[in-house]
Amino acid sequence: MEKLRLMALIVTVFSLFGCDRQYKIGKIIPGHTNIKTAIQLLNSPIESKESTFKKEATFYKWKDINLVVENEIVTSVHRRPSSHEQYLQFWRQHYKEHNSILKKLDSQNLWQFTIENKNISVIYDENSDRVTKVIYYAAK
Amino acid sequence: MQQNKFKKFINKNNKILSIVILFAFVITAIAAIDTSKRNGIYSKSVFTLLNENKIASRKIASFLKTNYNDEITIKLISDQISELESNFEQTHNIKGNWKGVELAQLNSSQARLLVLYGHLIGDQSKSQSFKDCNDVVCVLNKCYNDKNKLSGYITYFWYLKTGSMLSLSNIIPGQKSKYPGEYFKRHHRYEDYLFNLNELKRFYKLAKTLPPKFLHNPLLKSIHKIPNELSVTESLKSEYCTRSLSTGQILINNNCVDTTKENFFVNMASQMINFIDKTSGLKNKTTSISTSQKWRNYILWNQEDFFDIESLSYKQKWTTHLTGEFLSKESNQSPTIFLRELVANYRYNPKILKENITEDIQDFIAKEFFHNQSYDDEGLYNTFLNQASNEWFINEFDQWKECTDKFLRLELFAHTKRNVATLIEDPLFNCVENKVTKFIEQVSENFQDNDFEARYFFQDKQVIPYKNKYENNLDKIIKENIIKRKFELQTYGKEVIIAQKLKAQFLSEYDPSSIYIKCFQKEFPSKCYKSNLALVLKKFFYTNLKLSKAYQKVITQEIIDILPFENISKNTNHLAKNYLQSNLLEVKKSARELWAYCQESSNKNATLILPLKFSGNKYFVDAGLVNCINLKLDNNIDQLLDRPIFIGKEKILYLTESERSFLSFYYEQIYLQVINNYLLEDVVNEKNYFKNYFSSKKGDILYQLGYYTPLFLEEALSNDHFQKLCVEKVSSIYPQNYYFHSKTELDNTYGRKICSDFAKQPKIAEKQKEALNEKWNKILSKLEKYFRNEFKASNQKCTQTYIDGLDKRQGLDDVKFHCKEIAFKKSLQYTLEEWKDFEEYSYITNREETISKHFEQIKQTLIK
Repeated sequence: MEKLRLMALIVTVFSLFGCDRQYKIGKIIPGHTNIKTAIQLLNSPIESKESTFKKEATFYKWKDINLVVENEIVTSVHRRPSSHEQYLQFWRQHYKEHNSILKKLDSQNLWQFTIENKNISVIYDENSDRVTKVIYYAAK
Repeated sequence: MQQNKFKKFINKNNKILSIVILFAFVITAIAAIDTSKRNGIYSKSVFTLLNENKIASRKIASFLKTNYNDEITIKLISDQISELESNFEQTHNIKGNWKGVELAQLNSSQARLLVLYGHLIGDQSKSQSFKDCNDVVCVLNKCYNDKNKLSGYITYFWYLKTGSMLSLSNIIPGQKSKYPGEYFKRHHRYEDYLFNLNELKRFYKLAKTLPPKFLHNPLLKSIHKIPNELSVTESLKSEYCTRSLSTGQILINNNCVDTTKENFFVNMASQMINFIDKTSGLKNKTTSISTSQKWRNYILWNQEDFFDIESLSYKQKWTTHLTGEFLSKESNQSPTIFLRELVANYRYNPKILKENITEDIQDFIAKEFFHNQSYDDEGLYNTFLNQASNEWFINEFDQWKECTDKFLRLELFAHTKRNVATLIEDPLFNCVENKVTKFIEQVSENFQDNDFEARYFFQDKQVIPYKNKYENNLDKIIKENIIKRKFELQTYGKEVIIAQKLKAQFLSEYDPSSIYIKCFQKEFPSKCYKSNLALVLKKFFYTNLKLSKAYQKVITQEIIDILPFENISKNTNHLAKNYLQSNLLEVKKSARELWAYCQESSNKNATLILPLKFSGNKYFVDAGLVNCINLKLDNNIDQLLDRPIFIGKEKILYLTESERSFLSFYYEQIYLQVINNYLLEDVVNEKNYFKNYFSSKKGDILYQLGYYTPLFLEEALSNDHFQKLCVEKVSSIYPQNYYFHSKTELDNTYGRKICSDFAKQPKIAEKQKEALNEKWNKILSKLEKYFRNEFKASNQKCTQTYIDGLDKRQGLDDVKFHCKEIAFKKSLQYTLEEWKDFEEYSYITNREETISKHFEQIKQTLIK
């Protein structure tokens, strides 16, 4: 009985840590959050460098999330999908009342599914039939 | 008390109890015996039993003399076809007629090809009859119009060897046009879709050189030629010459298949790997090997993301220190493509790969895709050396038998180890040693029989050092083995001969694939296999109580070394193919029925139930339909696995638990792929249906909308609102049964367009403009009333305040003017705030500037 209680406690503590991280990621709002605030929330990044796509932008990398920053403000948040989010069908059904666009990205069987009025995009890999990335971006 | 009652009960019913117990024992024994027949020491897998019950001769044609140049003759290829056909179950009950060909008159391989891939044969724009043909090769040759007839043979050979089909159809999977022969908005001749003879010869060579894992992959269905060097993607021009589809097809254009180019083998293998990547990944409980963290850890690629807010486009870039300059530039685009090309080059450019890629990555590829076999000169040396020495060990008893019959003397066993030296010249051992050279020649010749790699290894001047090393080392290995036997004969006596006989018996009777199947999905299959094989051998030797424990241990290890896990696991696809091939039609039928059933019982209000096996790929699919498929999928596969297997005409077997587990993995992949093919078909059909529906109904809809115009005009508060009301009305006449569009999508694609056309009609537009202007004017007058009240109150308050605290130095007129200015600003601010509380506010957006301008216009009159 004691062992069970200990296991339950350990699982709860780890869950809280996991939820805590997700909660902090959720606090980063593209177009509003300052990079300093983001770093305070997420701790120091593994890597940060000038973006190869836009000189004015900086790319920040953590283990579970990437940020693109311009003028000190986070412009887009890139994270891995959770277990239920890995199906494109989930996104299609969840946002079926909203306008969405699906377009092919280059030649790799990658597709981008965007829900414009929610500023969300997901990247779907047709080869593996899985969503590989969830992106929140700043409004224009 | 209770105990006494129990004792009395037992004593009273002694006889009855004894009978019951005896009866139970007998039943259990019968069940145990029956089970042991299927699962006992000599248990064979269903797949082996199917193989054994072939009608066609098992005589292998591999000892035929062949041409050592690359000439393909009809005789050569038809012998190879016979050999391959003999691997399939030959009894079938496929009936019917395929374009004039009676299926019952064909053998099972040919009948199955026509049923499964008949839609990929022939010009799809016209009906054709093949009633003059009595076999599949004839059908194929008629399509090719090949007078040499070799094309048909090669195509059929490819099907038997790989399990997939070279398409002879003029429909490209996923093409935009619904008409055969139309691709990229151009019409093409039927012949443009066919591989020519030179190209087919390349496919022949490819089939002969593909490793076992590339053959009979359940997900690869067919290979299609893109006509006239057009792009492999119709929607955007691709610079690449091959492409694979998730529905099981590979598309290839001239740039890859042209015989003047050297990249054919690498490109084809690279596309085939897509399917192997997926099935291997699924076995390892990931979606694919190339997307697994394990692979990313090996190659240390880093991903950089970017999202362009202007164009709403995602971009990514992979950065790595590890690239392959010998690979295509596409290989830098993702770890998946990188892996694909490495694997293809591992097979077809092994030397270059070895020089450029680190050993740990080579080992990873070798293990995941090639059963640790390599194809460079050293790899070939290792392969042939292992195969040849294994050949000796398997047939050791036969090799020794002639000599033991002639020369074995009982005195031999009387000598002690100290006298071994005197035995070296014993005629028995000389006899065996004299066989070695001939054995090496024979086995090397057998390897070369129609094997391109073997011919290269044994004949090419480049490889002479390795060839010599092979011959020397093989000679050494065998002679060392002979010496080992000499010592064993000294130590263990004649039981060595007995053991070799038992070994030969075991190897000829026992099928290790049943152990492999049992261990297939264990965490450590190799370990499981070895320990189970050791157990089987223990039981085998126990029933043959003729060996000492010590020598039993020796011979057990020998047999385990002869039947390594890697050799058995190479044949995974091969093991399952016979069973799968004979049931593919059933899978298709079951999938079709499930698809139809779930469409009928779909529910538009359903919520998606996760996780998903069938996910609908990239398409929107009615949630009810998705849920239905996923709920019933496992059950349907179980029903397929429950089907009895007929061995010959009488024997009926059912799969064991481990066989079911082994097959269910393959079944699921094939089943889902069939479902996805139906999905793709129906998505296109529904799209076309809606196009036609709205096109034909547009006039009617516009006419009907005319009746609703007064209602729209009365209710609409803006152009957008008008559109919205219109779309709601149009959506009430959408067709009832649709599965692959959300309502929002239909609204956006059709509803809005119709309503936009409706609203643009001059009379409607004019009326709409009038109605909206009238409404807006009403709103403005309300706002003006509010404004004036606010202005008055604000102005009064301001003026009073100044009058009360009037600085006599300021004039009253100045104060009044100043207060009016302040009152105007405040009132405007309050009015704009008040506007947000209007019901109409959410429909009429961005009017703040218009309102401000309106009040600026009346400002002069107010302030004067």
